[in-house]
Amino acid sequence: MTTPQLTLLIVDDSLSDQEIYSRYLQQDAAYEYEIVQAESGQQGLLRCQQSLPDVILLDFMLLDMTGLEFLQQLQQQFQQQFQQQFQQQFQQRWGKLHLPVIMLTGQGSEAIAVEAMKSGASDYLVKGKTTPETLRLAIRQGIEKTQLSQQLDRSERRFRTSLENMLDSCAIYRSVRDEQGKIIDFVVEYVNTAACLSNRMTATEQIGQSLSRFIPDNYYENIFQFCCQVVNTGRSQRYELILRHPPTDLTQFSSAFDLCASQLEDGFVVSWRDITDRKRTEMALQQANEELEQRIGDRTLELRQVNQQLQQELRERQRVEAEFRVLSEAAPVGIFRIDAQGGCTYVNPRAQEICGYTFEEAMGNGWHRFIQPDDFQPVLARWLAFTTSQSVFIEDIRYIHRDRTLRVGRAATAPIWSDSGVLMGHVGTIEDVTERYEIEQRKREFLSVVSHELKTPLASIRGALGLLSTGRLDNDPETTQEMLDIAKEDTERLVRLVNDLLDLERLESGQLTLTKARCNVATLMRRSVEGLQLLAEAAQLLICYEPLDLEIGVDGDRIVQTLINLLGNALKFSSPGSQVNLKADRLGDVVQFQVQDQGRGIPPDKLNLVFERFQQAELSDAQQQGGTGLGLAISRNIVELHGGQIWVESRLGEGSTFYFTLPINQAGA
Amino acid sequence: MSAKHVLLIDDEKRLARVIQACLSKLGGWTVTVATSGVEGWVKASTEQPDAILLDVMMPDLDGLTLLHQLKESALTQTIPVILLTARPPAIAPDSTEPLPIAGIIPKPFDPLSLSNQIAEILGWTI
Repeated sequence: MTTPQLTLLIVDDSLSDQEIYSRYLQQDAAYEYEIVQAESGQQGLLRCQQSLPDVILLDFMLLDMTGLEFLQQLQQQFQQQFQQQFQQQFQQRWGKLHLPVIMLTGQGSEAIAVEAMKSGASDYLVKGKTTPETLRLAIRQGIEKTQLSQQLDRSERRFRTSLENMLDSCAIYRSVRDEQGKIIDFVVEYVNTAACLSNRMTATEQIGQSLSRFIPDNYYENIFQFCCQVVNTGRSQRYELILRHPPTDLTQFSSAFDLCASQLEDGFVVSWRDITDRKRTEMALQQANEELEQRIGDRTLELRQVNQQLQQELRERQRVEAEFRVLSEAAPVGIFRIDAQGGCTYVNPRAQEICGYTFEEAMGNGWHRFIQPDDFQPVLARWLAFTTSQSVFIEDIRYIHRDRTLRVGRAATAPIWSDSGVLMGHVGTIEDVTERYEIEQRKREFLSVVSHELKTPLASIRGALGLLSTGRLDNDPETTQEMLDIAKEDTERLVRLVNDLLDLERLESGQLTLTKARCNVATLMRRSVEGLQLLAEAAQLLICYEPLDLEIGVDGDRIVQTLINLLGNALKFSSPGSQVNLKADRLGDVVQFQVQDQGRGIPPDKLNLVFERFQQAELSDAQQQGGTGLGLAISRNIVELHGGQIWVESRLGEGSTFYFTLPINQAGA
Repeated sequence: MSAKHVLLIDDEKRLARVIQACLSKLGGWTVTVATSGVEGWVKASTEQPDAILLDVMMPDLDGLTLLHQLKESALTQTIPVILLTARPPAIAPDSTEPLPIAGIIPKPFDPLSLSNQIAEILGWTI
């Protein structure tokens, strides 16, 4: 550790004294001295400027000035230097003149010494009584004292500058107490610049003034109590002072302050800041918040109402949608939707059922492949030609169902136009009219056959009678008879045909009511066989039957009609010498009749058709066998009307067997 | 000039007999009858009639098939054929070619004026 160095200026006109002090100090272990010497006051002042001494030993009695004058001039010189070139160094080292000056006085000059101390000297020594110890002690104490003073000065300066520099107002108040020590007032001891601005008073005007001077009457008591509390408890406290105008109106205020006070000695230091703007902002914000909340509340209510309305509309829409969906899903007619490009976008269940495709299969152009391939292009062309028009397209289209049957669907489409007149697609219906087609077809065929069946005998009757009426046969009795026979036979044929047609019509339209009664099966069989016996004999045929003694409830005449029909057919298609068998068996709840012949049989593809009208196995059978072509259709109707069934089994070349059943216990019998 | 020979092909036996009687008594022609297509084909070839009256609706060989057969055969192709039919439009629904026939007599016809109709078509005199 190095010894601290000190620059010592000795201002003394006695060179011998200078030598002595120098010697004393060089024996000092605490400091290492650099000694600067001056023999006069002027020289000393000059040396101060040059050497910046740490300490000065000053002889009071100089030749050119006294020690007091020297101090005075040194102060002046310091002031000048502070303001001029040495400003920085002086400020750093001393701030103000902190230069320990030890005055050397003559004996008995205590008054001078006191004067010197007042003028800034830090100590004094009496010449002649000065020992190395006293000199060194005085210097050391001088330096330390100066250093302390310097630190104190710096500290005060620091805090004062800080306070003055603050934007917040700050003041120090001293308590004023009564005789019992109770605080009765506070007076200002210090105010900073911000406080002066805030109070609009100079510091001088404020210092010494009572606290009440600065606080409006209405608020004074509260503030006073607050200050007392700070002083008495020693705790720092904050206080928000809001000045209202009028004081009762809580919605308005003129100014607001945030106060913070701490106890300081017997008083307090208080800082405050004007928070009027902040409070206003806060209040405006709060107001805005409240308004916002109110608006949000209003808006929420409004939104809730709108939401309820929307919910209701949604429910209504869902209800309507469900209704239309049900309409479409449950409609007994097929419904489909096609977009503007011809792609299918919807088919209802009925359309799927009719056409035999699934929803997925029908989508897009999937439905195309269900249309009869030969028809597809022309149908599509006609449809496309139609899509440009505004009207409804209706056409019967042949299509192939999933079950591979060819069917006919009546498709109708109507264009869907947008409000702006753009074609949006088509909505269509599809109806399975296959059966209707078949019925119409059968009806046409039936009419055609009936007209042929009626016209043929009529033509021959007309011709035969017409020829007779010309008289050309007068000499030809043989042909005359022949013509008469033809007219008679064809008339009978016409009668049979008309009767059968009327019979069938009444049976099929349900106009014919059965007259049921208890009948014995054997009796029915006998009556039938008897009715045909002559015909059988004429054809050299034998009818064999095994009577069954069983009571059943049926329309006996109708059952006999059916049996005669079946037996008659058997006879017609049997070769001479062969046999026709009639049999009846009880099978549980039913009786089963069978009529068996040994005729030519029925081709397998005709088996299902023979019970239809005019569906003889051979077209010529009707004429050749004298039948009307309606007998089996009538028989089927009679049997079914009794609740029974009729069918035929046949082998070509071996014969046919017709069966029919009748329930034994007929309702209504 | 010998009497004209007409072959009637019709499966309605009684009607055929009446027509035969009418044509022979009123027209004075010789009329033979065939009651099936096959029989008609055979008789047309063997008897070589002057004209053929053909019923279109027949079960075994339909009238139009028989007509073409007659027109293809060298033996019969020159014999004029008159069709008897109830439904003229149904004769040849898909054909645009005229049928190789002398004429059509629609059904129902009046047997008493039939001979006049035939004579008119064929240019015969009664």
